[in-house]
Amino acid sequence: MTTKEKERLREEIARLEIQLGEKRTRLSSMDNAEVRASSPYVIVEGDSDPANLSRLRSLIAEIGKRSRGGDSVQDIQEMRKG
Amino acid sequence: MRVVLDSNILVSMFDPKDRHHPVCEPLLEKIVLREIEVVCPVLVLAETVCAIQRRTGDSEFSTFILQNLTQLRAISWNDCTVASVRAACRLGIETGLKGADSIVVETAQSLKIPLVTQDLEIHSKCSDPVEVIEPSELVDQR
Repeated sequence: MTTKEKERLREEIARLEIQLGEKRTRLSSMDNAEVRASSPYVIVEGDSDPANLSRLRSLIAEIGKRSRGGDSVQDIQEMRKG
Repeated sequence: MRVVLDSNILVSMFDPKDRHHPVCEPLLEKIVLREIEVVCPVLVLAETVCAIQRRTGDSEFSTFILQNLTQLRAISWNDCTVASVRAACRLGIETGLKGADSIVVETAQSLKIPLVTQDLEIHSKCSDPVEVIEPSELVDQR
């Protein structure tokens, strides 16, 4: 197999992985329909709806009340150090 | 525009007490309104949710983050496959990146799209194989 053919295959795999991710997301969305309907902090169908922005901002405000805060770069670096 | 977001961006975006929240929060609107499309390796999902859980100690609200992140249509989650991890290993060998960093960078490299991160080590080691940008650069783009 030539380098060009390998590169084409890699690109095709990357494209298919994105499609698979989108399908999983839709499936997850259907699975969680009941939870979504019952929580003001979880987005609803048609997630480009601006109403979802306010749901997410409400969630962020609640997280702010509970969080001890920190520096995300340091926290993730710590996590990745294992 | 399509980008890969690193975990530190999502954690900062969702936690108002995070040091980098002011610069990352504007990305939320762009994602919800699908002005930017995001692709992340699933590792980023686990790191983000676990970081929020460790900071808040509140499993209910960490679960809300998990649900929202997996339901936002602007975000696609890429599985880590043997092929992608092999490519990440090659990248780690070339650059000296940490294992998890190499998985995130490899996602951007394979898709030929920019990586948004605030991690200076990634900025310094990977500006050649991929375009690495700051969140402020993405916010400024119209």
